Amino acid sequence: MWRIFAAAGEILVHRGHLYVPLLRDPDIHREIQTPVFWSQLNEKSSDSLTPSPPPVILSRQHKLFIQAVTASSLVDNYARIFPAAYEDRRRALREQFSLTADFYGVNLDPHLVTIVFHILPHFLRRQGFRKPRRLEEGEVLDLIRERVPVPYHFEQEARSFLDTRPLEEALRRLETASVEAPPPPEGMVPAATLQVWWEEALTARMLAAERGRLAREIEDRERWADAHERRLAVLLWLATKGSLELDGFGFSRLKKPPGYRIYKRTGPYVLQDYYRRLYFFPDCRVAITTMGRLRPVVVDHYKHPFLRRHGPGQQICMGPENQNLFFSAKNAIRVLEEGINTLLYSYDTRRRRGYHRLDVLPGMMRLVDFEDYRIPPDHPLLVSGQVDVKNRTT
Amino acid sequence: MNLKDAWRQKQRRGREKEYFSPSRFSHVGGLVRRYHLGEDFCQVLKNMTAERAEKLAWDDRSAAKVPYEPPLFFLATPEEFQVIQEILSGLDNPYLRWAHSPEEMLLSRALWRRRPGLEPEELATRHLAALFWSD
Repeated sequence: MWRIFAAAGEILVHRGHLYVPLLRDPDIHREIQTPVFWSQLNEKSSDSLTPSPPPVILSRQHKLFIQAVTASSLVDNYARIFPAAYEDRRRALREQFSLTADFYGVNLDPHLVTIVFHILPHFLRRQGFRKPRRLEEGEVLDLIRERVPVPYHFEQEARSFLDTRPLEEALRRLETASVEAPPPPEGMVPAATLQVWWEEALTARMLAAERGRLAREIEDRERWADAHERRLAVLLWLATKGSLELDGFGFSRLKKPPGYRIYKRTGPYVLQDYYRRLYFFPDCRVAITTMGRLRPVVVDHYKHPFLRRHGPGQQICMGPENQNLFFSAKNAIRVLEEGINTLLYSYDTRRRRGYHRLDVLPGMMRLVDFEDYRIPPDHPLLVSGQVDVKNRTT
Repeated sequence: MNLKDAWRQKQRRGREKEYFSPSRFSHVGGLVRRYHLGEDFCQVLKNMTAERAEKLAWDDRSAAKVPYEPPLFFLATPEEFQVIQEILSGLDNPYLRWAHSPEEMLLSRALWRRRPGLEPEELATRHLAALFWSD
């Protein structure tokens, strides 16, 4: 419909509706030739004092016009139908009113938000909460602040962030511009005139939206200022640093490709082979990345029956069920837990699972040797209960 | 035919597929819009005699059939509508449906008078000027 702005002729605008020339086929032609049609048309045209819906067909300058869309719908629906073009116009408008500076709060990566507020609480060991419940965002930030010291200068930044003066200045600049959408023109108007009106109405709408956004932003910051200055400092610190480790769970920002590595430490554990001989496995980090499909890998230089070789960054053998999960809080938690469970609990002394066996059978060639992991049954770590045998039942 | 037979016949006809084909108005309308035909073409149409048709057919006897897919429905502007009506009234013949160009439209009436029993397959694949001279 926006193509009518490129039309060479005139467009009829009547009571806020656009009317385009009536096109014909034999049926339509037959209908408009009848005297009943013209008498109805004249009746509706003369009876303009009573409030009634605008007529479907109008006659002007010996031509018939049919109702198309309301003029305002060209403004209302532009953003939905042409989102990219609308965004370009919005950006140009913000440049015109100097609104492109960072007024939008902490520029948090959505992945970081998911990790900090949705995945991290799942792995945190909490004290004082009898029933496991979902932590609010503020509570998560409080927990982090209790356990990790946040540098002082982030608290200063938080204070300056909560200063709403730049936003108020931007809002004042916007108030000088008119945000009242002009009414659409009336009668036969050239397409260029209609386009000028449409541009003005669209600009007014975008300015009104910007004003609303700034006002909401100021309100948000004032609310933050009341109680959450320290929490905001944690948030700013996380946004800058991009990495954290708490209770064996951690994440770190990757440079190329941009994303995050999320990991959970297994802690040391012991596995036994078919002959009840014990093997001590050191702590390792099971990790996934936010890019692409979720696959659990062991970050550290490590060996295990479920890893193909002795080296870093190996994918854990998860069996034939190859699930193509993409990053979300639920999937990330699930894949991390599955990876850890595979390392700790999936080794079976009787069945052939994974890539390697702990015990050597006669005539077997060993690609990865676990002899150096062997510990005696009275090893101090086992006796003291610091580590336990994970596959005692198999 | 009693009511039962009539009902059965109606049921049988209902099950048969009826293939849709665009109307003559849509067919000619598509050509009018494609070739921007106007008053000039209507003048040529009015002055079309048997001799002129023969000369046109001779000139285009080796021309290939232009591919043309008529629109399923056609809505014309008032100016186009006038031209279409003039063409339909001036060239009222069954071969107009197979005309794929303005020249073929002009030739359709003369061809129908000369060779009225042509098969649709021939009309759909060969230029009407070529059919005009072939035996």
